[in-house]
Amino acid sequence: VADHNDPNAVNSIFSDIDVSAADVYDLFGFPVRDESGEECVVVALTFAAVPEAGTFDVDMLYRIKLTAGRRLVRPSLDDRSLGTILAYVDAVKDKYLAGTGAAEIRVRVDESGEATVHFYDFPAGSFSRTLPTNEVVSVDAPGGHRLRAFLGGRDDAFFNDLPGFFRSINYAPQFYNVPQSLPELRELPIPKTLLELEGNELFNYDPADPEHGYTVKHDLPPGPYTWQGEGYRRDANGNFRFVYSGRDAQAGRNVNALIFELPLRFVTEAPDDDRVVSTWAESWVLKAANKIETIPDDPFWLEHPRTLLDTFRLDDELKRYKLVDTVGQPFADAGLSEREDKRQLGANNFWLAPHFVRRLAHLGWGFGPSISALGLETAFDHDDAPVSVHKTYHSAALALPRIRKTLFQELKLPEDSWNPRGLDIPLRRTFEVFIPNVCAIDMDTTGTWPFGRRLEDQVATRFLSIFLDMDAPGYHLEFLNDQALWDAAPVEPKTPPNPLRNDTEFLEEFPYLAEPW
Amino acid sequence: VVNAEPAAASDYHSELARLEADLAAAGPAPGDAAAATELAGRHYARAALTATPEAFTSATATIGALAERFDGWPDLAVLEAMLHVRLHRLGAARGALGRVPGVSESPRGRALRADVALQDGLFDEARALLEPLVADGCEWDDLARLAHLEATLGRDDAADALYARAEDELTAKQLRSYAWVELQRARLDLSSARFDEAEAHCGRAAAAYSGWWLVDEQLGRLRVAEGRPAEALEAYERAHARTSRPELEQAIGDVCTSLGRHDQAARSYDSARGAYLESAGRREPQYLHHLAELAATRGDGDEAVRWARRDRELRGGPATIAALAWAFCIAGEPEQAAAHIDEALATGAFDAGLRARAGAIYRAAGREADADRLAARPAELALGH
Repeated sequence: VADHNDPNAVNSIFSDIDVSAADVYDLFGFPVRDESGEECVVVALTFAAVPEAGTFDVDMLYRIKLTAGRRLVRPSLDDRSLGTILAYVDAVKDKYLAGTGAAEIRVRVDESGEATVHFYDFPAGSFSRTLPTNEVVSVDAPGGHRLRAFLGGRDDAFFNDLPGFFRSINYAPQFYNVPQSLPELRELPIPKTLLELEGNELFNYDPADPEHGYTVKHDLPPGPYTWQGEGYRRDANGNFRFVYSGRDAQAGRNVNALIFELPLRFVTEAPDDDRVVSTWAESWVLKAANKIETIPDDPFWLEHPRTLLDTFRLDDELKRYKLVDTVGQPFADAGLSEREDKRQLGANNFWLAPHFVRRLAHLGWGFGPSISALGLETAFDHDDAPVSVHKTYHSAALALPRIRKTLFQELKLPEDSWNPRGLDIPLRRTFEVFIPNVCAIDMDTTGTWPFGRRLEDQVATRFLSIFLDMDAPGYHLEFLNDQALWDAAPVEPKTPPNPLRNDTEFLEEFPYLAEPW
Repeated sequence: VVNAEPAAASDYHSELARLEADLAAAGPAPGDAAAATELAGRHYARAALTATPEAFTSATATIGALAERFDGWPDLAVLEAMLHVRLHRLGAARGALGRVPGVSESPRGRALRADVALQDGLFDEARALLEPLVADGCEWDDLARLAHLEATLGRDDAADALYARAEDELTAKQLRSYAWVELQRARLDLSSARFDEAEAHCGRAAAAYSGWWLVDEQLGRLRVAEGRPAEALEAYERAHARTSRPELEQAIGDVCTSLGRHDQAARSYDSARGAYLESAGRREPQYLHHLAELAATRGDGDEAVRWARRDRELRGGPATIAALAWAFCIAGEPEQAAAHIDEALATGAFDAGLRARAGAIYRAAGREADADRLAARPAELALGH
C-alpha cells in the first residue's frame, strides 16, 4: 500500500528550472527600403539571452506571425460606449484568430548553432531553410523574393527605467524577495502612482539605499501591505518625489534576437492595398514527452486551455511544444494583463477586452491623480481626487465611464514626421492599440509607435502618456519626454521618466540592433 | 526491455553532484530569507533525490533551524511542511502550514493540505482541495496529486488519464518530474498485470532521467511480478548501489528469500531493520510501517502488531490501518485483522495493494465471499508490500 506517491517526492517547487529563454521581451516592427529600394518590413523579436547571447536554448521554438491587410474602418470618434469596443472586437477578431490566414516564421536552433527556419503560408508558399546564427544572411525565397535574416545575440534594444515602472505599480518582486508560495504578494494593494506616496516605506526611494530595486533586494517585511497615508511625499522644498529616475536599467544587457527583413510583396500579394502588417510572436518550449524521441505524442494537449484557440490547427511539430509566452504590444503584458500565465494569449486576447477596461481604470485611479498633482491634464476622470487611489473593478461597465476618454482619445504625435507622405491616416486610439495584442505596422508611416514600433521609440513613456488628455494644448505622446516640462515641474528628480535613447547606437542598416556587449 | 544501467555521468549523478557542490559552497548562515530558502530547498532536494534517512535527518535539522531563524517566512514554512508530509509527520505538517498567515490558503498550502488529508484517509477533503487547484492552474503536480487520489480509490483509468495530463504540462526542463510521473503510471500498469505497458513506462522514465535508483526500484517490482526474481535482484542491487535506502535492502531480502538465498536475505533484513530502528529511536514516524511490514514478512506477528499500532497512533490513513490488519493476520488473529481491513476499506480506499491484502485477510478469517468479491488479480498479490 503506497503512500509515497505525492509529488513532494520530486520536490515540485523551489527547484524546477525556469524556462528563461521563453521570456520574450520585445517585438519591434517598422517599414524600410532595402538596398534595391524595395519596400520591406523589419520584424525583430528579442528574448532572454539564455544560455547566453548568441547561443540559443535548443528546447525552444519561436513563432513570429504576420498578416497584412487594409487599415481597419473604425468606429466614429463620437461613439464611446462599451458596446463600441465589443463591436470593434467582434469585427477584428476573425482577422487574428488562429487559422485565418496569418503567415508564420518558425525558428528552432540546434546544438550546433544552426537554425531551422520554416516560412509557412506566405503568398509564395511554405518553405524551409537552414540558416547559420550570429550573422546576416540572405534568403532566396520562392517567387524570386530575397529576405534577410539575423538570428543571434544583440544588445537589448529596450531602454527603460523598469524599476521606476515597477515602483509606480508597487510591484514587490523588483524590490523584495517575495515568497514563491504567496503569489498574491507581487503587485501589492497600494495605489499606483507616478509620485511617491507619503509614508509608502516599502517602495519610496531611500537615499541611504539608492540601489534598492535596481541591484539590491531585501526580504519582504511582514504586512500589512496597504497604504493609509493622505498625500504625496514632498521634500523640504515642497517638491514631489518622482517614482522614475530616468535611468536605463537595461544598459549593458544583451538579448537573443530573431530579426527579419521581408519585402512587403513577400508578405502580401496586394502590397498596394494591404498597408498594415500586423505581427505578434510566441515562445514555446519542448514538452518533456517529446524530448524523448521514442514517445508518441499524447492527445491530451486538446485539454490545454492556453492552446484552446489553436486546437484545430496545431501541426505535428507544434503539438510537441507548450506555449509559454507571447508578445505583441509593449506593456500589454506587464501593464495590462498583470503578467498572468493564463492571459498569455498573444493576438487572441479578445476575451480580455473587459479585463482590459477594468485594468486600465485601475491604473487610471493610480496615475490620474498624480498627473493632476503635477499640474498636467489627465484623460482619466478621477473626480479631482487629491491623491492616488487603489481601486479595482469587477465590472467593465462600471469602469468605463472613468476610462472612456483614455480609451477613445486619439493618440497624438508631436509633429507629422510619422506620416511622411501626408496621407489620410487616422491617429490610433488606445483600445485599437492593445486589442488585438499585435504590433500593427502601418507601411505608410515611419512605423513609430503606435504605428508599429521603431527601435528608438521610448515606448515606456509613451505608454504613460495614454493617461494624458490629448485634447489639452500641446499634449502628445512625446509630451513626457520633454526635459523642459520636468525642469518646471515641482518634482525631483527633474528627469523624463525613462531614458531618451538607448545605451548604444543602433545600426544604420540591417540587423539594426547593436552588437552584443 | 529496459536496461537501466547507470551511465558514466547519469542525470541522477550529475544532479546530485551539483547539489552537493552547491551545499558545500553555501555558507552556514544565509543573510536573508531568500538565501535561506535556497539553502533549505537544496537540502530538501538532496533528501528527496536520495531518499536516505541521513539526508532526511540533515534536511530536517537545517530546514527547522532556518525556519526558526527566519520565523514567518512563508517559503520556509512550505518547505518544512513538504518535509513533514514526506516523512508522515502529519500533525507537524499542519502546524507548519498554519504557522505563517496566508500559507495554508495559498495554492501550495492547499496542495500540501491535500497531501495530508490523503495520507489521513480524508479523501473527500483531499478532492475538495485539489479539484479547484487543477481548475485554476492546471499545474502538473496538482494533477499528479489528483491522480494519486483516484488510484487510491481504485479508479486506475481515471488516475492514468490524470497522470497523462500531468505529463502534458511538463517540459524538457522538468525531465526528472516527467520520469517520476512515468513511474507512477508504471505502478498503475503493474497493479493490473499490464507488464508490457509498465515496462514501457519504466523505459521512458529511464530515458528521461538516467541513472535514477527509483527507476530500478520500479523495475525490481516489475520483475518480481513477472516472476523473474534474479533480474529483480539485479535491479534492486543497482538501485541500492546508488542510494543507501533501507527499503531497498528490505526488497532485496524479499527477493533473496524467493530465490532461496536465506542467509543473504537475513543480512539484508537485519540491515534494513537496523536503519528503521535507528529512525524510530529518533522518534521519527516514517519507518514505523516498514518495521511492521518487515516483522510481518519475517513471521514475527507480535512485533509487527507493536510497530503497526505505534504508526496507527500517529496516522489514520488506510495504508496505516491495512498495515495493522496485516500484522494481526500474521500474529494469528485473523478476526482482528478482518475488522481492521474493514475499517481500511471503509475509508473508500480501494487500490490494488489494499485489495490484494484484504483478500488474503478475508480468506484467513474465513470470509471467503468477501475475498471473492475483491477478486484480486495475480499481479496484485505478487506486489507484496
